[in-house]
Amino acid sequence: MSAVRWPLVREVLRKDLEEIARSRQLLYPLFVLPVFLTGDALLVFSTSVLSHNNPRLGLGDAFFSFASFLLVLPVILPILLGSAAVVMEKTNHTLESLLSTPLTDTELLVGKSLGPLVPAMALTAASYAVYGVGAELLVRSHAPGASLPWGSFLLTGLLLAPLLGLLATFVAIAVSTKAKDVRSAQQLASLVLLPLLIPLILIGIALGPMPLYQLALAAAVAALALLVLRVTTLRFHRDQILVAGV
Amino acid sequence: MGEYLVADDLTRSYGGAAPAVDGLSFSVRRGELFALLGPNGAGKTTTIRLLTGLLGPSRGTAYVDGMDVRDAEKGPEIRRRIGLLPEAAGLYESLTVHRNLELYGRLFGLSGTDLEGRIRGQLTSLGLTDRADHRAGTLSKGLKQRLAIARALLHEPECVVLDEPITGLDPEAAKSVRDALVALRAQGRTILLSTHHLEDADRLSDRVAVIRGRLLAVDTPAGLKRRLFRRLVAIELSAADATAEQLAAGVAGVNSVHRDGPRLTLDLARGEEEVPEAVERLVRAGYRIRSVAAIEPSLEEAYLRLLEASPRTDSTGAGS
Repeated sequence: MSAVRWPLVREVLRKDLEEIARSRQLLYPLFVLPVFLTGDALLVFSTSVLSHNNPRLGLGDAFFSFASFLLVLPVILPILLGSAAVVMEKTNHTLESLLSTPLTDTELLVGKSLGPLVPAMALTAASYAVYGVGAELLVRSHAPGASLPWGSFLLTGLLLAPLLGLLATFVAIAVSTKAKDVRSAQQLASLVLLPLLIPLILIGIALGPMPLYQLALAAAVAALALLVLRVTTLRFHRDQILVAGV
Repeated sequence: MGEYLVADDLTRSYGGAAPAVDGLSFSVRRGELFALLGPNGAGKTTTIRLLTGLLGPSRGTAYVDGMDVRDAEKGPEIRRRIGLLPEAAGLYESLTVHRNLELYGRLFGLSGTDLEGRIRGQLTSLGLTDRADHRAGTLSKGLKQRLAIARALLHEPECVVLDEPITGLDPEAAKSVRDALVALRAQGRTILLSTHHLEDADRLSDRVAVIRGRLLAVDTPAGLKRRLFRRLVAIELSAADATAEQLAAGVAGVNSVHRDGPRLTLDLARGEEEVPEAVERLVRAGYRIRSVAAIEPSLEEAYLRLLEASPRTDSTGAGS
């Protein structure tokens, strides 16, 4: 297999980002969802801080629960963008021209995966940062002395969220190569990923901030992401992409 | 003149359906304009996709400048040699005209002043300079097609493959595409053109292939017409009747005579050797001859006759 030529991958990524930036259909939900979820998380956490009789008790669990809740973002955002990545090239009739360039299948797959992954991860990271800083400021002003479980928070935001983002992206791309239209691709990717995500969040919230559990979970998600990547790579051939869903 | 594109027993099936193309073998010579003709669903688009390495063959193979399209390692090099204009222009409509060209230039490994110079050159030669900053989606169909041609030519490919480039265009836009084809041909590029416009194929192409799932014929337009129609000659009389028809039909070498008003159309076996004798017989019988002219059948007539003679095979699949 020949080496990946990163300047070509960068061009695919740049093009996809430009298209996302010009698409209201993609852009609005892309920003609305993180703003609402982060706002909700901070709002509910602030009521916990303000209403707690003894603010030092249970704040850590509340803080971590909402951090887990934000794991919805690295799954939903790649589904939103990744599901459109290949199928939209088909429906817009741009796929054949793109496939006629010297891009290899691997370069196309990497470029198409980075397109949804980069903005999804940037927005997820921004949401975690806003939530973390906001929560810390709330605690400092209303519950001084209370400590938040930063270790678990960072494990969630910096390890688990990116791994979930990778998994969601690979699933979305795999679905997108086979789908007939964007909507059916998004529905199918959601159908695959949400049953996995919801118990993961609920168990995380039930167990509370347990770094060991989070590490084990991260390892499991990483293994699953690698498996999906392997399957996607094996099936990502221009011949099949061009014909699939027609 | 070497062969640039070669189809060797090229066959492609989609799923369990009958092959969309079956056992195609022909070649496109370096520097020639080769037209691929066939009705809708004949497999023209599939053939183009197979010849350019976008689809893999189910059986047989294709070669681009000697490189086997089945060799995945050669894929990028094969695609670099070809400028493809697909049936749908396939432009990024939210991006500007300039950005569409820049993107493809970069994907073909161009950069810096070289890329900028080529973009300017293409925009100028295809009359798109004043549209450079317009979004591709705002262009008319003809301008989009011109932009797609500019994109296909930007990396200066040795071979240009155009799938139905004129379909759906208004006469002015169609003319600009024809002019571009003539210019490309003058530059010595190898051109594979799939088209329904038989007049264009007749006028522009060096050779044509007619396909309908299978290869029906490959020849020069003139050769194809000769092969399907023996020589036709029209004799215009002041008045023609059944006797005149019988007189002409009685000449050795005349296959058949068709009478239409004062005109007799003779289908000749050997060429025009039979004409003087037919004329002499008619004159002797008292008929006045107004004119005698050879009839050149059109490529369209040859094409239709070829299709009539070839049974339709059902083929289904992606593309046509």
